[in-house]
Amino acid sequence: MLDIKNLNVYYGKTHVVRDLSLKVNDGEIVCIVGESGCGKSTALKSVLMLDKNASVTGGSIIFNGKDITKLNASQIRKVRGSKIAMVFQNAVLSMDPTKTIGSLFCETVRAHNKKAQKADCLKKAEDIMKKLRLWETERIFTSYPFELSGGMCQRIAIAAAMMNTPQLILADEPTSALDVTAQAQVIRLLKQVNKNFNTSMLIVTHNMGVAANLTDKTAVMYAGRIMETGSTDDIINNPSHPYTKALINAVPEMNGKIPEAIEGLPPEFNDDTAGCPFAPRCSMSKDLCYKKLPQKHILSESHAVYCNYCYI
Amino acid sequence: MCLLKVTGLTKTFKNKKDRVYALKGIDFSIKQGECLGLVGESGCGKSTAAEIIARLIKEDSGTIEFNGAYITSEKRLKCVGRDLQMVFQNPKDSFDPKYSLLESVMMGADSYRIYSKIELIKRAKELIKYVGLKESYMYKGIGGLSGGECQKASIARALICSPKLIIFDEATSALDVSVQAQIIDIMRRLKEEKGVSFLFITHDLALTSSICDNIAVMYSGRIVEYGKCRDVLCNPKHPYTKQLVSSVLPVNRRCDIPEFNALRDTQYAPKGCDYYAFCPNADEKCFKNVLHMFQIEGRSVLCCHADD
Ligand SMILES: Nc1ncnc2c1ncn2[C@@H]1O[C@H](COP(=O)(O)OP(=O)(O)OP(=O)(O)O)[C@@H](O)[C@H]1O
Ligand SMILES: Nc1ncnc2c1ncn2[C@@H]1O[C@H](COP(=O)(O)OP(=O)(O)OP(=O)(O)O)[C@@H](O)[C@H]1O
Ligand SMILES: [Mg+2]
Ligand SMILES: [Mg+2]
Repeated sequence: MLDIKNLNVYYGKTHVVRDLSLKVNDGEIVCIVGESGCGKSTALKSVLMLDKNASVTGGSIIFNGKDITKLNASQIRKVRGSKIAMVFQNAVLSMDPTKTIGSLFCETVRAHNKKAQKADCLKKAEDIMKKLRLWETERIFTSYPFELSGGMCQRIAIAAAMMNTPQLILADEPTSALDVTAQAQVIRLLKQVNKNFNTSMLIVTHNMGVAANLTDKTAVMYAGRIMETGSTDDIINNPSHPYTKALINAVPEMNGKIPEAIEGLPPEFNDDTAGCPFAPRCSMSKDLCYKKLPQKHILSESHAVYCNYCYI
Repeated sequence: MCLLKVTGLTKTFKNKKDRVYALKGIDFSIKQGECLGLVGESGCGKSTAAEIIARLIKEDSGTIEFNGAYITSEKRLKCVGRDLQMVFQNPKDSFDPKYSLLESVMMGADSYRIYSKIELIKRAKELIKYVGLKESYMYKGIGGLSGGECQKASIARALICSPKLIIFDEATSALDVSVQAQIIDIMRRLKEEKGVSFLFITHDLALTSSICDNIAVMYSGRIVEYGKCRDVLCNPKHPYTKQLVSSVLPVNRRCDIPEFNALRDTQYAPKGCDYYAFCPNADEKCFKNVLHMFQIEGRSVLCCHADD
């Protein structure tokens, strides 16, 4: 369905996404986790060529057999919203502050189906919103985005993405502003949509609980590169890369234990040293790690890691 | 002594036709060096409470005492500003993308003139490193930062004046778990070494358990449970808190998420209990008894079932 091959993205001279390859099969839910600022949003946005400041050089993004990097603006607009829907990291900022939520829903539908009736759009939106624990639908339809709380806007963005029953949903931290009950309901609905309409999803999240309960596959990113990919179960319960291990170790628990941070800072993006980007912070790194960029090592059919040592 | 004491805070928003009762009277206090966690349903009024305390919007009624002075009257604004800082839920919104990271962080001290220019630059640079931002970003435009980097920048800006109280409105929601742990560590050091207090608004219950002393659980504009963080999370009493704690997704396995529906019609909320529609314990007592804060097992619980 979606096949990203060797994607490279630059902001000016800064090489942010590096040689990223990722596949989302039909009906599959894949998530990307990783260091803040490592290029997850950039990678997601480039699937729809959304960021004007970003330049995609090299690599291909194949969606339904077509290379998106080669489409022109109007062709991309057709894909966006109807076949692929996106939920942005910053829901409030991604909405037009001069339009009410009701008209936002209508416009989302009308962009691809000019004849849609207002009442039908709102009815459909209402059904989805109720499932997401947004009860006061009347009030919300007549409100502007800034009159709603952060978590309400986020759920509306998710509902809007589902309006046109897209084939692929891209969601950038779709539950970061939600209380745990609403979060669970969002996941429940996403799973339902995935099952009923065979919708594929590519999701960025920092929440391991969300990853564990929603996704089939997980890719771990660090400094613009993929460090490890595998089934979500493998990544969480049987991580192989030292970075993945450290990340899982930092997940806070309810027992009041103080989570452990990884020492040091991520590398600069314009620093083009050869070796593994995680080497300076890695507890296992040896000389080779500073010299040689790790190759992909296949651990099992679904599990691969980019590390010079840990596959042994 | 209490650094912050909030009593009877209410706020109603007027939309075109509707009235939104965002806060229906909340009380809490924070001591020096204490971290109070504020959790609860999305849309229950947490950010509204934070914005009122930070004097960004005006309350309808209620008082706020900060550092021994009532800040609900108009005059006090200036003296509070420096000692009370806030990190916003939408960090990108709170910066002007025209400026560089360094300038943006320095702006946190602009109106107070407590540092000379050179000192200020030095301090801003230190803080940028302290919160874990790369040095090469110093002169980068704020618009070119990722969601998490922006959040770190707004934490640095809040720290620049060495405030006594910092309000974190979901200040860690866009950070990966390792950076979250770093921020928790920074908070802990500020708490212990400098006696800084925090109002920590979050949806991550596990995080509150690692940093907060006390926790207040909000539902629909009211605090429904308030007590020691451990007690409340391990042994919740209010039906809403119970439901909240049980919704936390396990990290190491998949679980079945039940559908969540209202048990009863919401229109007939008895005696002001908003949780009635969802409450598994609701019965005719909810109509007879008035809502009241009860003290049980070292905490306060808002409830209409006095005798149980
Ligand atoms: N418009 C831009 N111009 C220049 N650099 C940018 C721009 N947007 C992002 N960057 C840089 O690119 C890097 C990756 O950003 P991106 O937003 O993809 O990170 P992310 O992985 O989504 O992080 P987070 O989890 O914090 O949201 C960051 O270091 C950021 O500073
Ligand atoms: N400017 C406004 N005009 C009208 N209603 C508003 C305004 N600001 C907030 N509200 C309403 O007040 C209620 C409380 O909002 P608030 O932002 O305080 O919630 P919150 O607890 O911070 O939620 P979240 O966890 O989703 O951020 C919401 O129902 C919201 O729609
Ligand atoms: Mg991002
Ligand atoms: Mg809020």
